[in-house]
Amino acid sequence: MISEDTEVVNNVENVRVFMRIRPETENQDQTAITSDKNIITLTKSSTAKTFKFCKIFDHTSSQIDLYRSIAVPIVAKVVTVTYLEIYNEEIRDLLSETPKKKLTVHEKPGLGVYVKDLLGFTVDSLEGVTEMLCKGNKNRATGSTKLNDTSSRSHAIFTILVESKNKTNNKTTFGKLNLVDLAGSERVNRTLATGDRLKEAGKINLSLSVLGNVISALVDGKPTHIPYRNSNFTRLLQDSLGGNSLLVLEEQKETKRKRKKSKTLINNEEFEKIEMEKGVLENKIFVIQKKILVGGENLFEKAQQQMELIEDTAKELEHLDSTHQLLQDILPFKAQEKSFVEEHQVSLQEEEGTG
Amino acid sequence: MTITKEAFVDLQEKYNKVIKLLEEDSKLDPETEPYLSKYLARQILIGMKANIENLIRTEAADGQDNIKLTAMLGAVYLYLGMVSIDTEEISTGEKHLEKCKETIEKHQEKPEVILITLNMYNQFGILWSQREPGKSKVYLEKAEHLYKKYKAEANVPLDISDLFHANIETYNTETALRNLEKIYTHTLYYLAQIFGAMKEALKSSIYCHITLQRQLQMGDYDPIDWALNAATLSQFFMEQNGFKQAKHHLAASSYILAQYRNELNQITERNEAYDAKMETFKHRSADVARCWAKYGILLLSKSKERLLNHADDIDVNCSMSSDLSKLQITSESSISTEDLQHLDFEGIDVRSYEAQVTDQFILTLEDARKVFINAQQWTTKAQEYYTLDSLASDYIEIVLDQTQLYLNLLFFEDNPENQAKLHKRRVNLLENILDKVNSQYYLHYCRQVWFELGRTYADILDIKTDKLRESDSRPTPQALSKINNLVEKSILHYSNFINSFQDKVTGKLPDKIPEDAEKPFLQAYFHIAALHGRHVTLDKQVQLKNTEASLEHYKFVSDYCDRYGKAKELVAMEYGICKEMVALLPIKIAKLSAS
Repeated sequence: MISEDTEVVNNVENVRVFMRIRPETENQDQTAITSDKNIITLTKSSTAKTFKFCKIFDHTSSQIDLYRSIAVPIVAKVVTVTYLEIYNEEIRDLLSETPKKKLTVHEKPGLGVYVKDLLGFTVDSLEGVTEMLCKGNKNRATGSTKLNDTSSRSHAIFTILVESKNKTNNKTTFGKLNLVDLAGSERVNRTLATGDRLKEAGKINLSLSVLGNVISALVDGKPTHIPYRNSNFTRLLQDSLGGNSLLVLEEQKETKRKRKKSKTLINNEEFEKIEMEKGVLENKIFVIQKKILVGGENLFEKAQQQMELIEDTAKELEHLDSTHQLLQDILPFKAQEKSFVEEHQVSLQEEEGTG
Repeated sequence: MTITKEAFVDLQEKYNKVIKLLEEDSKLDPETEPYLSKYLARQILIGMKANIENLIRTEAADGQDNIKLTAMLGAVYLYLGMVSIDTEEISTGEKHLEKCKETIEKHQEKPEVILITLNMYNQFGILWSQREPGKSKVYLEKAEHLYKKYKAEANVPLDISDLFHANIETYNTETALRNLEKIYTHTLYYLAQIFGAMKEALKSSIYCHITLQRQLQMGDYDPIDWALNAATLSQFFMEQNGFKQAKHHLAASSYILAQYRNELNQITERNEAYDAKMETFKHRSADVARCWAKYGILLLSKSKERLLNHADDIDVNCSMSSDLSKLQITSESSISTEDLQHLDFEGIDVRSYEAQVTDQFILTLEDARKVFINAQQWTTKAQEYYTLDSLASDYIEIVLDQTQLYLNLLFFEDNPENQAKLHKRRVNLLENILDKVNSQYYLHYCRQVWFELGRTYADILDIKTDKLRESDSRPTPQALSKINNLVEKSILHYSNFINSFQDKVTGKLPDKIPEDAEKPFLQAYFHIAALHGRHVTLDKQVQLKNTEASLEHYKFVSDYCDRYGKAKELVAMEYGICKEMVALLPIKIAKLSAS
């Protein structure tokens, strides 16, 4: 809650430090806090410390006050809003004159995912933003009465795009904020309130229109098998959801030599790597040996050096050999581990991947 | 004493009102009062109940209208139950359904009552699905059993609306029979869901199939949805090694799409509605194409697994079948062999679509090639719709499928030169993606691609080094330079993969990598470490540098795993080797530095 040095403010050109005091809670260490304009005083057992900031906001201030006071003077910005609804996998523009018209999702490799023909409105104030929000809300699909029918879910995404030009360094930055209204949230609240334990998984869908969902649920959890069931919803929020989900990095269990009798495939790969190292070293030795035979100056010296190299490499080979041996000893053990893991995995798949 | 006609007419009027409220008006209820129509309907139903009960009291026990009145009362309780469930008054709903059951107890299988009975059991199924799927299953299976019995006896049911029709002259048998079938289809559909919820996937899939079959027979389906659902179901069968069934479902899907295509061609007026339909058709056809491609990919992959697991003795010891109807059923299973015999679609002939590719496990390169070509054709087809410019994510996924296809074919290829060629094709496909897309927006795809490229270059490297080792002659400088080039390429891509986790501002790697990426991240580091050891050079300085780089990378993995125990479990094998290398390599470095 209490912030840093005041000196920082003056030294670093682009940094402004503000402080906002939250409402008092249990003050365990009995520190009295008073503030005045941009100076805050902390008094504890008759010792007073003062700190200076660019501005201090007390506990009566709101987010909007802060925003207006801090952000607005620094940046000149263009704020654009879009508002769309996804209902039964159909996308509609809530801010258009023809909100019933269905729009399509497109992608461009350089741009990412976007909705074609979605209208963006420039607003110049927070009031403008809320006005757009209200306007769009009026156009939302009226609550479907088929509350049992999970196919009639309506999500709404209100997007605020900020393009701001920083006056101090002339850089333009883009920011995007998605406000998402998830469908069915009211219903969930109501159910929780009444205490009925609604197990979504067990709830029967009445309409045959969602047979597809029932079938998809059977397929193993991997998204690779039914790619086209990615809803428009997740597609639109793709870049906001972060790029950390690695879809398919399946273990390549294959061996490079399929004729190998050994069944412990993973171990074999590593074996081969060690063998490779060995192989390369052997190769080097071979090459060096050849060089000794071919004439040249200071052959003897070279021979000496090379003898040493050969010795070293031989030692290394020994070392690798012992590692090799070690691994070979571990191998059967690992084989056991592997089959245990495989069994375990199979039973997990049966549990998870169905239903 | 006979019941007055007025009484029946009155009931008919009320019934019609209820139906209208429930089926039409409820759709127009305002958001603030979503149950308005339902509550109104409920009021009327309560009134009807009172009336009917009254009539029953005055009617003689063996009167001609007795069964009819009983049925009507049962129907009213049924509707009351349904409305209560819809309006989330579950326990009230249960009470009504119980009363319904009580009322119709002795007459369940009579023509006047059968539709109410079946509906009631369906409703019980829905009711209990939320609390106890097991109980739900019992009710639904009861409905299933009753339906079969009723059909076997070839009786004609009475439609519920006819029941309330006061002066009916002829009964609507057609409607009644159609409703009978509809109710049963729903019973099967609900059972499919219950089995899914109870994790009995195969049983659920059988019911899904039957539902699809029935939709087909009744002519009650949307062709696009049906085709897509059949294709989706095929994906499930494939995973269970039921390639025969999977292929059949894909064939059916294509068949229905072709039929729909003909229908569209008949439309002469080209307006917005037509365009929308055409667009959907093209879109979903591309999706079915992707399913066909997945079929080929998985068939090759499973065939490979099968060969690896039964190296020498495949014909003798391997009982794995690609036909689910031959699946060995254990005694504990809830599925019967009989259940698995009818996973085909009656009434449509899809053999021409099935003929394009095999459903048997692959043994030879020749056969593998055929499957490969077929699947490749399907990916090309899918890319007609999913282009890089319009739907890049899907396009990329299809390209990844194509690379997987090459990889699966590789396994069957003995000749290393050809293997290398196939790898090269993969490289081209993957590098093409990197060229075309913005890694900022397609980060998770680019990561996959980098990792795959790292691995593929390493695979080619292995092939080339093997070749060198096996040859007797001295390796040419070109050959060695190629080797080094491959090493570098592999390292480059693994490095790109790793660097993509850097913080954009500081340029530094975070201390902890997100869990779902941890394993490949560490593996990439590990591979780079090993790769640094594969440079071929006589230059001691270069060797030293490489060995140091190698050590650095082994150490990173080792340290990371020491810091985060869970990570150690993910890459246990690699960790072991890293630890060894961290011990060994300093010796080598010392020797190299000394000389």
